[in-house]
Amino acid sequence: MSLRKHLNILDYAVHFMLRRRGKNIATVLVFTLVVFMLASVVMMMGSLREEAENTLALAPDITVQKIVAGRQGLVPLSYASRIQDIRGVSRVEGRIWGYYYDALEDATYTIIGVEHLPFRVVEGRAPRGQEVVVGEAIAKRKRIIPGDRIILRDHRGNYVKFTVVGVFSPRSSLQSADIIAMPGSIAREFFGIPDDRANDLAVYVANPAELTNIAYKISLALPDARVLTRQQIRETYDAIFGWRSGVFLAAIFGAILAFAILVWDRASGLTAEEKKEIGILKALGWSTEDVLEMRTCEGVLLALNSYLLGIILAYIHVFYLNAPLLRPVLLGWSTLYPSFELMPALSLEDLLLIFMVSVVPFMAAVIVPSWRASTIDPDEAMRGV
Amino acid sequence: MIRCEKTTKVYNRGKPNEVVAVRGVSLEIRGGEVAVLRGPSGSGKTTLLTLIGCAARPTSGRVFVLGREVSRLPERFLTRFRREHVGIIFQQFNLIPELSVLQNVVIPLVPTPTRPEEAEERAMELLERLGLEHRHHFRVRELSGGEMQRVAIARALVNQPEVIIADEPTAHLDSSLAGDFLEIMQQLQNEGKTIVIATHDPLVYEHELVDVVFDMRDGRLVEVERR
Repeated sequence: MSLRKHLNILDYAVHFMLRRRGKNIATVLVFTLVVFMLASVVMMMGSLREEAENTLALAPDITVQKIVAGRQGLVPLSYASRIQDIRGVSRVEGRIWGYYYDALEDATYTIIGVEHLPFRVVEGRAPRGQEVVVGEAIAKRKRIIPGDRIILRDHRGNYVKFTVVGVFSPRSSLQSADIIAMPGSIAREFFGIPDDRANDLAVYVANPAELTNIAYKISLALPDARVLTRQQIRETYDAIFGWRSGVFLAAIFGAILAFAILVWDRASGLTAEEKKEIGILKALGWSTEDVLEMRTCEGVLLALNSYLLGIILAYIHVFYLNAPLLRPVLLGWSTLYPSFELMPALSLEDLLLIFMVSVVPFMAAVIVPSWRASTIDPDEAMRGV
Repeated sequence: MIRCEKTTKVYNRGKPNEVVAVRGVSLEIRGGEVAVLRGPSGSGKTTLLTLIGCAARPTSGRVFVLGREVSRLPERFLTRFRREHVGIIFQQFNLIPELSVLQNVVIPLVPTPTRPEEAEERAMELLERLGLEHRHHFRVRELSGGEMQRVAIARALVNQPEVIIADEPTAHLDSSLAGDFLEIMQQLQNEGKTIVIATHDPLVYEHELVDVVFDMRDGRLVEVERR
């Protein structure tokens, strides 16, 4: 019985909305645009954070670099045995890695020496001898598949042929997109790194609670070393992403301001016709609750449609089109990376956050003036007020 | 049927612009009667009409409609009572110009459990009776003054009310259209409806269908003429 009444009111609300088509289309457009931009930033940041977390999961507990004249130099492997002697350290590995500029593609790749693959491989296996596994972006850009060969120029200027035996999974693209993995000894020879040196040392600790303490002991034992814990790297990521998203949010401040003006326009009052219509409805036997229900239906229809449209467009923009509007701002280092795909990572909290900053104030702006208008006495409508 | 006991209505009470629109009015209208509230502008007839029509509550005194005291009903129940038992015809018609004739007529049935088909059927019957069935899909802004008023009458009747109140219903009509209006009121009276009209148009208060005239001045009831 009463459901019928609510359906009747909903039907009237739809008519009410359609009669103000121009105004409502403008509202939907601005609302959708604001949700789209906010959601794009939130989705991209969420995706980057998740990828960064994945990177951190693979990162060693502590990374030790050697600093020479304020810059990073090669670490003597003798440092490894000194660190190994510190109580609580379970393992220390010297890592070989470096950047490689591909003039043909105008892109910079990261070559790493590995014994075991750090990322999942979609197809293929771990490299042996003159073999490599490449990141998904490199494979796409150079149009290579397992079995193909690539030629790289080593530190002596010689061209070295490698057989591609695998491609890293796109799921780890932020970390692996630009990577060429080859056996450690081959990488050492390729870059010309002496046998008793490494780029840095990866330190693993048995008890995570001891991590800060051990890092402190390493820095005491090796005064020329820079000691980075996983937490410090995480903080750096957060600072970069936070800063970049802040810059972007400042850039879309104009759009948010337009939305605020729109909300204010609604909040500051209804049009004379809208007010008169509410008065007539009240005089014809509509209660305050009925009028509010009708206006709420209108607000919900407008807000939810705009919200969903904004979210869907943002999802397509970020995860299908790879965020062309945000990339230049949010990925300043993308000149280093050939390209990488953003993997969908969207949490309920993110959706709720966008909902709270867009739909909730809009609904308030619709309902408050309607409530004010609907509390007038019906006799005012009789007098043509 | 309708009874007012020492009814007073004050607007903006306690403020500098306080107005006593109705002062201690007591009257009685029997079921099936056509009553006229007569008086010049500012005499309080429209305010008294809104009190009888359950569109406002008195500041003091009591109002009974269909044997029920409506003057103390909370807003929600007063609204419901008005929706179920009272049909209102406004001076300015108060139609919604962007809506069609049919959509305007069914408005009082929207916040009720009436199915849309049933509401439209009822509205079409009324429009047919008032000679407007061929105009049901027109927007009201495309209608003449007389047609607009007939739409307003149809809207007032769609809830099948026992009481009909009309505020200056002939103010915007010529004599011929005013005659048509009174003819419709006559039919409704024959169906047993109680009709209360606020007017100062002699065409209305001198008409034979009127059973009782209440003369008002300065918010007071000054004379009752029962015919």
